Amino acid sequence: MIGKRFQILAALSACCCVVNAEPFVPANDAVVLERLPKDFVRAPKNVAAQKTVEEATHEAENHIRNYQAAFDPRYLGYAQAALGPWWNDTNAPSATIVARASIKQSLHHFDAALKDLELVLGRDPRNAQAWLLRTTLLQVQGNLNAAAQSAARLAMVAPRPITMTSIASIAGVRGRGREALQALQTVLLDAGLPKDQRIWTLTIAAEIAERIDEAGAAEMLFKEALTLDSSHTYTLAAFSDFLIARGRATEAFELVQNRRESDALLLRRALALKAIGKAPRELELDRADLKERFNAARRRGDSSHLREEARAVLSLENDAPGALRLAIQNWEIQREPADLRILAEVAAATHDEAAIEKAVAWIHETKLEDVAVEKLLPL
Amino acid sequence: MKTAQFLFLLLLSLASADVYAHKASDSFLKLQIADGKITGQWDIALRDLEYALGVDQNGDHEITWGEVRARESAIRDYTLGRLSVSNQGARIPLSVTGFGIERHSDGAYVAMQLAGGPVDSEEIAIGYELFFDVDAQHRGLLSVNGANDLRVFSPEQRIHAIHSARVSVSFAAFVKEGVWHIWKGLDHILFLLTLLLPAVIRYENGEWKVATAFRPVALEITKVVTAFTTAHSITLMLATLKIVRLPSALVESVIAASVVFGALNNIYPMVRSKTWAVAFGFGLAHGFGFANVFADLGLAGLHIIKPLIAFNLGVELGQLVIVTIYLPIAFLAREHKAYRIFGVQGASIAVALVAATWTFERALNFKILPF
Repeated sequence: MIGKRFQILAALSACCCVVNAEPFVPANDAVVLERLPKDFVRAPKNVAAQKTVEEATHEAENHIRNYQAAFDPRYLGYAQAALGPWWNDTNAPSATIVARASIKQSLHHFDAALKDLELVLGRDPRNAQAWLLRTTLLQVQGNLNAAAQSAARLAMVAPRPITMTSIASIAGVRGRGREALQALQTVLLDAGLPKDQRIWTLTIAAEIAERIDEAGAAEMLFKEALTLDSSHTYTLAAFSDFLIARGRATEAFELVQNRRESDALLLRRALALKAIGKAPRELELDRADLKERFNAARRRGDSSHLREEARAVLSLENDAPGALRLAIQNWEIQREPADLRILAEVAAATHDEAAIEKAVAWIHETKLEDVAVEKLLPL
Repeated sequence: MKTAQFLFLLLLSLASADVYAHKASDSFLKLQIADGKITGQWDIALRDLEYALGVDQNGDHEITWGEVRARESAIRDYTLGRLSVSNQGARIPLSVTGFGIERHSDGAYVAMQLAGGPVDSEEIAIGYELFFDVDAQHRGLLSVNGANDLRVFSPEQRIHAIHSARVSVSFAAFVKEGVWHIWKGLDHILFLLTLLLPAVIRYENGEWKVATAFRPVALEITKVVTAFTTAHSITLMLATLKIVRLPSALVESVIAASVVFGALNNIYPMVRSKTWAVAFGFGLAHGFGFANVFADLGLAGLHIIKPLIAFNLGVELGQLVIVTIYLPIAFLAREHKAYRIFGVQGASIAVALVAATWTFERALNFKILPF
């Protein structure tokens, strides 16, 4: 009996001790505690009340651009704070309201964003920025008929490359992937296309190519986008998913290994580590960090991470029922192909009839082509 | 110890060379209000302090401990100037009793230990204004007395009221948590019950023996429960005070395995005497399980001893209730064949199956059962 007890104790104590975060005093003054992003600037000295609305809008637009580069949500907070007194002002200038709508869209407050856009388009029906934002929003929500109609209005006021990309992007999720890909490749032939538009167009094309099983074309398009901007968060995320799905997790890991600060890329980093299967302790650190971030987001009432959280809960926490709840919650808010993909994955993992039905119904209704999803569902 | 501590801190500082930076902006405010005093810890991201105040003095985009220390009084003034604790309208002054760093999933935070008082246990209002003027998406995440309902400060909600019930009965609240967790802890209860089943009836040398008198039964049960209680109290303390830490997946697997063992032992007795020793051995693992639950109550870093004792007391009381209910029923039922078949064998088989599934789930980290 003594022997058994000691055996148990010995086994328990032989395992590694996990270090937990606790307040500490660094060893000396030279210890580096935090590295700031390279283009980091401090808050402007004047609070919102002292600025003109034009200055405030300009500042907000800068923050929004910074947000779109790295998906760092703090910039949305800075942008919103910059618009201070005009946040709920229905008489604010159109540019201000469009900036507001853009922030709300990024926070996943889609209905509020749409209301703002309707306000702008009511008084300024040729506002291209508003039409573009509205089109994208409706597409994210899965309201594809309305998105297509919005894109038609966009075509009347925006430069051709932008409308072509937008229309092709919608066609690419409505069963006309091949057509859409060709249209986008035509857009890309234009040497004068501005750099950030080119990246956007390349990434949309790459995603369509991947869905219609043109893996070679997809890879070329992703790589070209990354050549233009090797730190583009959205492209890195999409390309890592592409690589991991094709058994090239090591390459995916190399792309994202130093980008732990981004929730989206930390997720891909963890998924790559899991697929590689050789670094359990590092994987555990990533998994735990992601969990803490999602918990903190939930505590603050932020529901914009549901898609990533569902993927983490499914693949890192191995909790398919938990992931199912999140995927369904996410599906009620947004319906991009990536949202359908996680829905289909959890539906297949849990054999949940209702979820399978939702996914299948969506494909029948929209004619979305996605080889990854088609493998998972009884179509 | 000093050298080891220094080396450990050095190791931590090397590991910190990663580029952490940003999730959404949150600060974490944990307060304890008890015995007429407030204590607490407030964690604020260095990234946010840099944005609002400026900490990086030499503009090299790196924030060092030296730079933080140089800005310590500016940081204290700025942050405390935007936090208020009031009691019946009168503001309670807060002071900073400790200033350090804590790491969260997205980078380094300043961790300030706070203290204030006196508090006359009525309505306490906490007002929070930090960073809202420069970051409208910043949120202050508040927990009071380790309570599970966490409050969020936002530009739309800058004040939270804490009611006296929560404030003045924190000891009882933790006792309640302890009771609740052992009643909810199916694996803990099942382990205990599987060990207690043989006290009134057991399978020995090919036949069922029924206990003849109450006293030996009561004595046996007392020994087993005391051993279990002692063991899990020890490890609950050790783990909560961070003297020993174990991966939770391992702990949970061992707990589930203990239930399998306990259940199987009633069908194919492997241990017939000294059940108390088995209870003690596996009780050590169960204590780590309780420690995980206690840790989730969010008291890390604060005055932890009283809540810990209260929690442990709650666990013991909860156990005692179960045993007190079980014992007379089992003793009275012991003669009946049904008790032997369903109570001991049937229940043990069912429990063994469930617990085996748990062990499988916990060891390989995925879920099948909904409980």
